[in-house]
Amino acid sequence: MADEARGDVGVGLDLPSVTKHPTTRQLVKWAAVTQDFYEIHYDRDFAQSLGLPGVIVHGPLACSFLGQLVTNWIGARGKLRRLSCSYKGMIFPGEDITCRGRVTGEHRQDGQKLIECEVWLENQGGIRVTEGQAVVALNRPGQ
Amino acid sequence: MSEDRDFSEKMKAMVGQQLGQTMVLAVERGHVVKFAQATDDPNPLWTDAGYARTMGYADIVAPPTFIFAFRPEGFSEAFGNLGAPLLKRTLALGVEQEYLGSIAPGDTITVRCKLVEARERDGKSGKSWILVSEKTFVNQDGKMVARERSTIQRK
Repeated sequence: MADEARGDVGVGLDLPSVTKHPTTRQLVKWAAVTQDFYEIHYDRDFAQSLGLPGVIVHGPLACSFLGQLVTNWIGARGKLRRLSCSYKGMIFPGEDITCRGRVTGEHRQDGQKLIECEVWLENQGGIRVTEGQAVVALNRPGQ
Repeated sequence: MSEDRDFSEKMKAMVGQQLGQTMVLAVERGHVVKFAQATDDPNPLWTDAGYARTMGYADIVAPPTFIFAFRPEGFSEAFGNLGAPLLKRTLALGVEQEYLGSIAPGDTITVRCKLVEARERDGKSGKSWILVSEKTFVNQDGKMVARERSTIQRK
């Protein structure tokens, strides 16, 4: 995976996908480490009072899944420099979520090769619920 | 109506104001490890100091999105209540993060947040406001290690 990032990176290269299975326990852990205690993420009665079928996954947690997609791919060969996410749809715990990405371009800045990727999360129905872009900086030779 | 114009001018006049308090956080090893566990990310760079040293780091480093763990006191209330009571509901639209340096246990990170954009939008379900905040993360050496722009819709 990391060697793919080091070599010629063609536009259209697919990043190795990552499957996540968020649980209600994970949402509680996330709430604890981020101090985000909004009830919509752990109180089903509250979530349903807002018209939702149940509690929902935090948007930033979904964004972190995409971060993992990219850091898994680049490994020791570079660093994630930018990550952006748009929250398109809700994610519910108990679903399988697949993180996917594709290289869309590359350029050089200050002598460093930067790789641009489109990244997204698909729910079990194949619908893109989070979409974004990532920029990876490959290590300079000898780094 | 002049009331609408007054409200619009008040909203736009808030651009530049700080949201919440300045936060100074000492990065703790346990917090970094628990963050990695919470995201179910098994990458040993975030949890295993021996592995991190083989990768050229002095110690474990935080995953890039660890900056989500910094929540300045009063930020959520300040950002999420902009335009209240006229604007009642908040919808998070997205986030952009830029990672300029590593964050590791033992670092001290100063976080400041301000409102950088406020614009009205006409949509299918009526008018709303698109609000953008920007957080900066500066370490103990004065180096900016990350930036985050967060976009919400208020209506």
